[in-house]
Amino acid sequence: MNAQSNPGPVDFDLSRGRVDRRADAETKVGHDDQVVLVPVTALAGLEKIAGAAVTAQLARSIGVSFGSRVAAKIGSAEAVAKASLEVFVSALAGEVAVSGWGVLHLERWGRAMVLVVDHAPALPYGMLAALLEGAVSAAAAREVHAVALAKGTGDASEARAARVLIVSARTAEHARRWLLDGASEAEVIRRLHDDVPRTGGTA
Amino acid sequence: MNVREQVAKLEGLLARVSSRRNAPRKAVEPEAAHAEALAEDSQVAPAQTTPIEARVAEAVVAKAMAPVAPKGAEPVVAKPVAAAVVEAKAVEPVVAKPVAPAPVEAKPAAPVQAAASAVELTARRAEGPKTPKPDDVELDFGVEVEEGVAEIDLEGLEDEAGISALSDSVADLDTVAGGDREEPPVSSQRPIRVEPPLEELAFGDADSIEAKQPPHSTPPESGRQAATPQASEDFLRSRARPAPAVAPPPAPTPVAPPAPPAALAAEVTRPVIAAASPAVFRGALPIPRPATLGELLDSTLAL
Repeated sequence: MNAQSNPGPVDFDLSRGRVDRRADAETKVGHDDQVVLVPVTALAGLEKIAGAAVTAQLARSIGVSFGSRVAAKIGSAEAVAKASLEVFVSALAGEVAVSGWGVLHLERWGRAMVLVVDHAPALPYGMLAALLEGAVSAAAAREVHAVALAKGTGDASEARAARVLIVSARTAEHARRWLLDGASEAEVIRRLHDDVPRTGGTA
Repeated sequence: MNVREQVAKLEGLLARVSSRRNAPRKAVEPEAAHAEALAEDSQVAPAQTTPIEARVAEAVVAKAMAPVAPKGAEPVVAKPVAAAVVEAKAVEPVVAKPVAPAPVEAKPAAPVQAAASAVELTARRAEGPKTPKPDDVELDFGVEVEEGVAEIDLEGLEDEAGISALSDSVADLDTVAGGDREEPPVSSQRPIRVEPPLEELAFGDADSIEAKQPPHSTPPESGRQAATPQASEDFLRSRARPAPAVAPPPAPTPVAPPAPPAALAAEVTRPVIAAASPAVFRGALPIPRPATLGELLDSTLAL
């Protein structure tokens, strides 16, 4: 991990009972964010209580915080758009790892952008996809939609990876429908690159 | 009656004759001496006289009673000795074979000792009266056997008549002795041909080999014989399974010089292939590779 990917320390102030995400000490950019440690089981129970849309909104807000920190780290949203993939991925992966959401890397399948998270916590992949959607949107200052290509929940003890497709809103609707029809990850990506007319989706 | 019995009888006679010879001689009247001899003979072994001996005795007596012309031209009266069975010849050497299978030569004057089992016969002139009468002749046969050598003393036989009579008796004894012996089988009578040793057959130099090795060696003593190491090795070698014949490693055969080229030889023509590459690549594979996150977002959002 290079210097640009350093997410900054987590300050545990036991006298005041405060945990802060410090800004990058080297670059002196960004600001401190006060955080709370929330058990994973609490987040998992929230989906059962409040539903998937509420949980996804919560996760997306967490991701926005990550993206804001990345953009602040890189400089700005324009800088992020002009930054290399390695710089962006490194900055975002640092934020994800410090917050305990797993190990992030990027895959490019043809023209499609896929973010992969290894050792993700035992939470629904939809929640993870909402987190990354918020992070990329905040970092690049562009509206993107994320679709989890696999169903189920993550498991930090396993090496199972959670792949999240970053596409437009219309394409995300098609991908979600194909996944509900039982298409695999590779099949969804292959269909995205075909020129066949996409039915059922909103352009 | 085998030879042993005859020898035993001869020993008995020898003892008796020796006793008589050692006894002092005295002049007796012929009739008295004859009677005395008969009485003595009857006392000695009247029952042991065998028919053959009897015949010999009768023959001797008959010859002795006949008028003879000895050297001294004196009539000799033979005194028969009943059991004196001897073989003797006063003039000619007699081949005697009563006792041992080996022939025995008897010499008239000097004893002949032929072999360990030979019989030495000695004829002695009896020291009888100087002027004997026909009835006054005394035949004294002495037989001495010492260690297998029988010495027979013939005393009183100085005339040809007595000797010839004894010759007849000896002939009878020869017949008797020969009767006990069996003729060897025909297979044993054939001449034995000594085969040349293997060394001679192999090398042809038998004289030197025989000179080095004696023809016979003394037989080993009775008892347990320890085998010599060489004998043991020979025994084991004869008992052991013969080792498989291991062929010696083949000697490197000299490489034969190449045969001279034949008149017909194939001429090979090989193709010449150009080094130019048959494939030509033009242009580059269109691979979208966004350099920045913005380009990637544009491509992925365009899907």
